[in-house]
Amino acid sequence: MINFSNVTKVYKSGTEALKNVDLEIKRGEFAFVIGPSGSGKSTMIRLIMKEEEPTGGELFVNGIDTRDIDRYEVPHFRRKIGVVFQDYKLLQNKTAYQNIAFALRVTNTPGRQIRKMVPQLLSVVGLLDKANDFPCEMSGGEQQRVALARAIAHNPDLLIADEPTGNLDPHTSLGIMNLIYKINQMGTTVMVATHDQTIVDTFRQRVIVLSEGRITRDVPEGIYGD
Amino acid sequence: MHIIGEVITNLNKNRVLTITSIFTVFIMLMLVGVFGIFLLNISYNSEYMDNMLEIRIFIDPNADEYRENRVREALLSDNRIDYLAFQSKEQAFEDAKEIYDKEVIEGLGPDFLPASYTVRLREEVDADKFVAFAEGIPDVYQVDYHAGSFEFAVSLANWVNLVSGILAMLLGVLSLFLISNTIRLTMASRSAEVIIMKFIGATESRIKLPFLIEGITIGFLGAAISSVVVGLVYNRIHDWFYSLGVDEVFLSGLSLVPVRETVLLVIIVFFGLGIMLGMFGSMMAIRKNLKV
Repeated sequence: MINFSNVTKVYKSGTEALKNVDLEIKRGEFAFVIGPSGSGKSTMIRLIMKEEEPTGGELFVNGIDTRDIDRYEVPHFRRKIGVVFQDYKLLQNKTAYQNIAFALRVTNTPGRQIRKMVPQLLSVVGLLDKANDFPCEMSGGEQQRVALARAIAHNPDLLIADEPTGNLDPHTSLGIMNLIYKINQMGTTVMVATHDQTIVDTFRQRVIVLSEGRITRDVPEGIYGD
Repeated sequence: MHIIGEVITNLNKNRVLTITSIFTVFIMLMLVGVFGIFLLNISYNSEYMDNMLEIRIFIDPNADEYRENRVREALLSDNRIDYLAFQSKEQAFEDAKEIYDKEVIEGLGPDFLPASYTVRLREEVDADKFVAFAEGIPDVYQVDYHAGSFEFAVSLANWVNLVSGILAMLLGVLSLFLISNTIRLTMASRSAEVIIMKFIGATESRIKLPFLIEGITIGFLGAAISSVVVGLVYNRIHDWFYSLGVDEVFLSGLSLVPVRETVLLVIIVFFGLGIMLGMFGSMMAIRKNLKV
């Protein structure tokens, strides 16, 4: 699903964010990417999303060399990748329903299909009764659930979660991670960048450790510490 | 349909800047309208302007045929003349009956008006010297030459065009920047939306289109308001001009372009310019501030 082959990323400022990274995440796999701030986790996500280009090496996502994707194909490429962020990135002036519908509408999904899909997605994340609530009326966990529903709206092959529990209490975090795990069980490849030791230790999935732009540890069913 | 809704919401959010942008487009187009309509009317009256360059030489109404012929010979032998046309007393009398009150003219009789020559000089000839010469011909009663008015009209037209042209250009640039700034602000207020659209896979055109339409809407509204104002004002001027009867009395031959024709041209030019300004203003903002 994701294949980094000797990937290096040096920003214009001279910062070397990734150094000769080799990594393969297989289809249907669940992987945690952990490491301190500045270790290269966000750069890895930006490269996968084709927000940035590698300065060296090759990166394949879903079997496609990201260098071969031209700018007009990028949106279609991104529809196959769902993303959730620490700060949820919900539109504050739209309800839970409208936030999800918005994601479908701007990708030209027909209205009838949107009306059918949004309640289904809300139901998957357990928020059907909150459809008409605005983000400010919801808890952090509920907002992240809406963000998750939006991320899987296009039935992506890959779900990337960038610090999905960063703003949540341990109990809510567990609920969100259970949901992400459930999505993985339905066949979606999942990559979670996190600092949350409890979560990593609880789920015992593959753990990839990044430090100063290099992979220093990569273990199946790993834990946060050594 | 959703995009139109987005456009209306965004323009409303930055109401003050939107109105300022529309107003600048409006003023700019008004200036274009003023000098455009002025030019249009000058070219519409080009025949009248040409006539201003003609010299009318009137012969003493009491002169007999012999004396009239003396004037004729003096003019015919002058090689500075390019074109010479004679109007007899009778022709002048008939023409006057068409222009002035028929009964009054008939009461005056055919001998009242003088015979005249209409002269056009070769280009290189000094008209003032020729006028002095013509005034010296025996039995020449009056020499009319309106070059002064013509030169005044031409220099006025040139000044109006120059000043309006420069102002319109400056305002054009200003409206371009104002529109661009308005769009930049709506982009800033929607930055979260743009980021979300990017990562959920909205196409570049879908992200940019509302901003482009916003600019075009500003240009369109500016054009609509200025078209209405210019149309109404020109209609007023047209009515006023003809109510004076100026075309029939003391400025025979001078006329204004019909309102319908003018308004149609104004609408085409204004909407074309307004929409183009809006589009380029938006494109400037998009190019500078939106990385998709």
